[in-house]
Amino acid sequence: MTQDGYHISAEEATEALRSRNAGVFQKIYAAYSEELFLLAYRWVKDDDLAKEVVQSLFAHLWEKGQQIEITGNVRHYLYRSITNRSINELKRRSRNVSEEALQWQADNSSLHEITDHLLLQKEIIRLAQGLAPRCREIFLLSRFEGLEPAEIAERLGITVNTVYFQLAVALKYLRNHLLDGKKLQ
Amino acid sequence: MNNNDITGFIIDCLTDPGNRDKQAALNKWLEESEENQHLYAELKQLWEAAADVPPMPFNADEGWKELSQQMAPAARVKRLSPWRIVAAAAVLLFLIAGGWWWQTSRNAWITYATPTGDVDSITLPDGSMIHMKAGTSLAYRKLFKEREVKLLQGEAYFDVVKDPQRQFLVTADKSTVKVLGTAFNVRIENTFTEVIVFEGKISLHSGGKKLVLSSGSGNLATVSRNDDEIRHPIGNYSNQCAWATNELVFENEEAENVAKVLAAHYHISEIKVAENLRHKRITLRLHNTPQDEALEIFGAVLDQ
Repeated sequence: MTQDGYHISAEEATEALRSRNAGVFQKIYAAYSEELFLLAYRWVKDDDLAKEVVQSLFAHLWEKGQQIEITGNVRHYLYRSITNRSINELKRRSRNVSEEALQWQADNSSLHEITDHLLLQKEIIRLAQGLAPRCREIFLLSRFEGLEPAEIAERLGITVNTVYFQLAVALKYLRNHLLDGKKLQ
Repeated sequence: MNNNDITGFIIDCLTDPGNRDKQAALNKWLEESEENQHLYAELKQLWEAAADVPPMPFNADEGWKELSQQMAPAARVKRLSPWRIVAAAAVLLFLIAGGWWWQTSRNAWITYATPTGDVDSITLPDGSMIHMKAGTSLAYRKLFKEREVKLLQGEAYFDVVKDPQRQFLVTADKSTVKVLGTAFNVRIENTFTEVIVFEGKISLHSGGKKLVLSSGSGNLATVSRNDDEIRHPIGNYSNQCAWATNELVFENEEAENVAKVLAAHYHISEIKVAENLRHKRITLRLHNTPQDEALEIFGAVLDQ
């Protein structure tokens, strides 16, 4: 069984849910859960809630598998479900639902665009592991935590120039490795 | 500038978009070559995509472990040892208690009222969507095993997911709408309740009477609050669902009427039609069309 979760078709996924095939279900989870977490985070802006939304979607798929019919593309089906769940959760908690989320829910013609964006983010997360420790720390503080260069310099006791330099190193590293990936395809 | 300086320079510009001097220098550099523009676009995309990444990483292995604990294991048939029988009895008790809890909670309803003055929408557990006008409230079954919604007041458009096994029920005042999967609009007024079918077929029940309504011509019915009488006028009323569907279709209709419907939909006080064109019959289909574009199309079709 070398087949990975991305190649599971909608029919195979539906059949796996009907017959409670935990092996196939796990492959689907392994393939898509991180992307779905990133998408949920995009709408709810809260990591704990984003994780909860992902887990509850998969729990629902497993429990209600008999009644679920996945049609079309598995990834798109999951993206739509995650978006609906995220919006419902936000409403339930009386939190603000962004215009972008509603727009996307009503008209998901930008599915391919968002898929590209999420896969790029996944690659960035993976590649960031390969950065030198100091460089990675600065990159994560700047991008994932959203700190300004001056704030990073103060927190780490280094000059702003060093921050810029390390960020440049990180970006160049990411770009080169992403380009390698493209050439390989 | 060497390559490292350029990346640093681009980051400097990206982190300080308000600085005119830097932006001017950047623009000048971009104009130098197409290669520069490519490099900038790629770095900018990376820079921005990385900014939306959550600070906490997602661990799929751990997530799966947590999830698999929630997944019920497959039943196995085994001979039970005595202490297991005690355990089984305890489980049985637990199941009975759980069953009672489930019985009571399955009857629970969730009430939802539109919070703001805008059109709002929710997705039900079965994936069906409800759009609601401002001031609408409704209730639906918490465990959506029976697909049942009560419209309490206002106006709602239902886009129901097909499920041949389970009908979808909407009750509004004294009328009940039964469907398997279709799209329709229900509105509660002081003296009547109105139903319009946008897509597919529904059956409308009121005071022991039943009427089947299909989309297209004759797709509207009203139920009077006083005497449960069902009225079924001729004509196609799909355009009255446009607030939810954003779809307006006019077939061979007088320009004057088209202008009125368009004005109401886009909240414009009046759309002027030249005197000699008022009774001209036109056919027009608008889907998700912004106001300006719609008026332009209307003008072009009308030839005015």
